[in-house]
Amino acid sequence: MLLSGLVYPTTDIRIYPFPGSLDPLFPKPQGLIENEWPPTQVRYLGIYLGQLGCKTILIEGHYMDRDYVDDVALFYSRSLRSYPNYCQRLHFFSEAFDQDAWHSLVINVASRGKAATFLQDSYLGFCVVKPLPGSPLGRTVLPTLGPVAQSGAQRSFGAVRPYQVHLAGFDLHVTGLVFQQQDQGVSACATTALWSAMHNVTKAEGLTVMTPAEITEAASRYALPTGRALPSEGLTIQQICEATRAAGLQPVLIPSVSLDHDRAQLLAYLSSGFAPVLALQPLSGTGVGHAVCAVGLKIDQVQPQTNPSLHFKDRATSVTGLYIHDDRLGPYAAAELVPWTADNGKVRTAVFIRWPDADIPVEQSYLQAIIVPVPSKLRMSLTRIRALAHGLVEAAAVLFPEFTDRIVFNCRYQLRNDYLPRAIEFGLSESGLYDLQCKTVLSRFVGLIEITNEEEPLFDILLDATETLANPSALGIVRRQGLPAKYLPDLKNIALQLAARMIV
Amino acid sequence: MRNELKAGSSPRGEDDSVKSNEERVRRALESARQAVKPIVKQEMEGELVSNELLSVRLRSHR
Repeated sequence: MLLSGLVYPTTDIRIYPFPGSLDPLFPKPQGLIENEWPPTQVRYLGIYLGQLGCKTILIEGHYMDRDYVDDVALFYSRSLRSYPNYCQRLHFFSEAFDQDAWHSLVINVASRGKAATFLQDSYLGFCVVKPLPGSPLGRTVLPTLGPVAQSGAQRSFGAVRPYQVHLAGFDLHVTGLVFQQQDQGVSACATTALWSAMHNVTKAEGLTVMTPAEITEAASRYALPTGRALPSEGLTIQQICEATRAAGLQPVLIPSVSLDHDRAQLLAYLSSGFAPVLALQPLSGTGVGHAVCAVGLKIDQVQPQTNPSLHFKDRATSVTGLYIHDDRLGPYAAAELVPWTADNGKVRTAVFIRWPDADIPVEQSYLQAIIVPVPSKLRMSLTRIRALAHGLVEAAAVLFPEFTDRIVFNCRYQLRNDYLPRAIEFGLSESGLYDLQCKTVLSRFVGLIEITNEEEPLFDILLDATETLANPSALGIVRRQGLPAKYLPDLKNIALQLAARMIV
Repeated sequence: MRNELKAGSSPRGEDDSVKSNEERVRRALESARQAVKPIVKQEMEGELVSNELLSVRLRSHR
């Protein structure tokens, strides 16, 4: 009997109560497994879902995943073993319901709207399960944890976006950033970190989101310093940059210099919606490097100025940690940023990564570099924006004595189309508001220097982010509510010196 | 007459005051720029990328 090759796979949707762990859903595959089973990522995901309050798991038996299909086409289809080209998909819900309830939700046409609301209100995201024995976790999108950490610190996730999910005729949404486990065939850690990092910005820029297979191919097309492209032996930083350019973006490569500098870069890019790839090196200084994708920030109090001759504070000093996608662990893993004295006596930035339910770090590394995929038109580097900001905020601290030692600056990028609607709440005069909305030319992304006191904003400086130098590229200075009228003449003179439009 | 003279001298006085305020702010900006120069220099130098860094391979498995 010869194979006809015309058989379609069957499918169904099954509902299970969440047992507090995902381990029972992932039976050990046949043969010897090199690493522990279930994989760390599966155990991590179970704990994270527990923290989100998961009560029900829905399993789609047949799911075509674009990223996995590309992996199959590039790599797995040429294996002796016949890998299916389809996956399963798990959906997670915070409400308890069973198979009968699900059946009613689907078939009861009259209460379809109520069913959709019920499902959406309790939806906690999805996880694609690939038919790969050692690395089952594929594309996974889960919501972030709440805005306040147990310590009281703020959590801020700037690089997440909404994902639409189609399930049995229902349209569901989850906001997060995509994560997956490296498969070591098509992708290593650097590929998956870059894949996550580009997911938000490519979508926002109207570009096609590259699959891990496409990233590995693009990275190895012109530069293959050692080894082979497939199975993936990891990527060099140069290859990460190459793949970023192939996606239609530009890589901003920032070597780690000091904790202050690194925190400033991470705060600015993450709060601007750009997820950076972090290149890490074990604290021992030896061993292979690792890549993770930063998704969010842990923010505490702004620290006092340490240089007695300066009179301002830097918002970046409030960053105490990160939330990262670590493909060896899971999504939104907590990571502390700490100063660490290296063997050569130099103080470097160390990254301590933790499990969601533990105090002891699972991994301790140095930060080597930050690679941020950004749109091509974003040309002005953050360092140049900060160079201008440092001088302006120090001058403001002197000119506005009421705020000396209490004035804080922050630098980031913002889309013009996000800044302008926000400006309606700035308390500008009618002519000022009209000036800003109708008479001020702004680049699509503006470099934004925000000057605040400890309680409220004082003024913003808008820079043309398509330029390279910050100093001659100030487009406008916008007065905010916190600036007393007595300081307006001096602010106008600052605008004059910068050749910027004054908006009051 | 004295009042006329006073009124007549006012625009020049205002001009001087405006110019002196502009100059005061310009000097404050320049002085601040000098004060933060070491920080700016350190951050700018940090942007320099070495070939060694470009060649770092990231491939940790687990």
